[in-house]
Amino acid sequence: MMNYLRLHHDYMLSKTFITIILILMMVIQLNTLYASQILEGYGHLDAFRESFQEDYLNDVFMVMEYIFVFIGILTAISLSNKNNQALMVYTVTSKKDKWLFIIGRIILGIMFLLAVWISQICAVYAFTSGFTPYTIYLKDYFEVAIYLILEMIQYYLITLMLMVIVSTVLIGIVPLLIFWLLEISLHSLSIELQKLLTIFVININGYGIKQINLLIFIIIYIFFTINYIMVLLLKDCC
Amino acid sequence: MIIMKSNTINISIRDLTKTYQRSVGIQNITTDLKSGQLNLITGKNGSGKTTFIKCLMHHVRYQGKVTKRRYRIGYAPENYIMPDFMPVYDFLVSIGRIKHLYQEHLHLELDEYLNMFQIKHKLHKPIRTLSNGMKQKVNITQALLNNPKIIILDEPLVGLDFKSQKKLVKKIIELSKKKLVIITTHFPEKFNTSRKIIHEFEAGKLL
Repeated sequence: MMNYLRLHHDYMLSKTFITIILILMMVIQLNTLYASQILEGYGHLDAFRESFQEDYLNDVFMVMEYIFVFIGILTAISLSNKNNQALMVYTVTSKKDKWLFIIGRIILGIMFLLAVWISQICAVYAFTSGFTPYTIYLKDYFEVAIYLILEMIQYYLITLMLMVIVSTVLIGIVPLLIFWLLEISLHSLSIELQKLLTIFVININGYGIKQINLLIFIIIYIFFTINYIMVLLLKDCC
Repeated sequence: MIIMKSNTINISIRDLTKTYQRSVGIQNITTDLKSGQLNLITGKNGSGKTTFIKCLMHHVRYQGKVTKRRYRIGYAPENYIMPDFMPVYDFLVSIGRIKHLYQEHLHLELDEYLNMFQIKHKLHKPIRTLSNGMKQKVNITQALLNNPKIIILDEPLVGLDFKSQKKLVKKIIELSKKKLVIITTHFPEKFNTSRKIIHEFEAGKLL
């Protein structure tokens, strides 16, 4: 399994992919800097510190959410495009190999997303605690942050599943559209529909702890993952 | 009493059929492929040679039975889609790792094949910068890594210059003495050996 993880790792970390990810991570950090109002000094904050703090965390989490979702989709596209699929031809000589190849791909993607998430969440936390007068409660912060990674993995898995059905990079637009539509219209839907949607879709909308039944969410996405593996196992390699 | 242990590597194929959505790739193929002989698969374009190979490799779903022991297999596909951005060396190392071939042994083996194909100077160049023939050489090199017991090469002579073709044919004939070698080709006459067995395909059937 380790060899398959390294194979996908070698494949995925191309210069272009890394450059895009680094730029996106820089945008998160620049946005954090800007939203903190560090450029204006913090003298004017005293009377309104709490409301500024709320706005700051909302802004930071909103931008992180957009970028994380984009990274999730991009990672899935990168790991399941035609070239990566072709690697299967060189490395698969039995059904067991095919199984390991697919599992390796899913796991490596999730490991990469976790690494991005940990680095950004820690960087934002360190900056906020060290350089701004805002107070972050660690428990609340990580509770919301966990929904960010779940949202990122959710769009990663959705994109992987769509890529297996329609093998074109352009299919990445569909999860982006789903995300965008939910982002702008979730709160204008009826309460019943909102409740129904939030069973299987995580949409964090800024810094606020959501009541989501994680068990149902995890069961649904494990089911999706098993389906993805089964479809790829049954599908011809090339 | 001395029990002789057979060293023959064998792939047994029974009633192998592969159907695509609108056509039949191959139908009812029954044959045995053995080591010690050079198995050449020939036939016109679209006769089912590559489909047959894909079935042997479990790359496609099929009906029928393919029985082989779990030996190391080296496979060079006809359509070599390799990750373009990767340097040749990185690609070969990645494939070597999957075949449990690690750095020190890899270098020894690479030296042999890179010298044979004269592509040593391209080792650290990205695959996209290679010509078609060079890519074919890399494709064949990865198949031969870690001394596989079964070697399956799909149209290995395509894209190679005359000199490289000669070297490769000589190497294939040498390998076929001890290993199970299966080659698809339009030029069986180029493999000048008395141990060659020609399996001819026509319209998805083995003649």
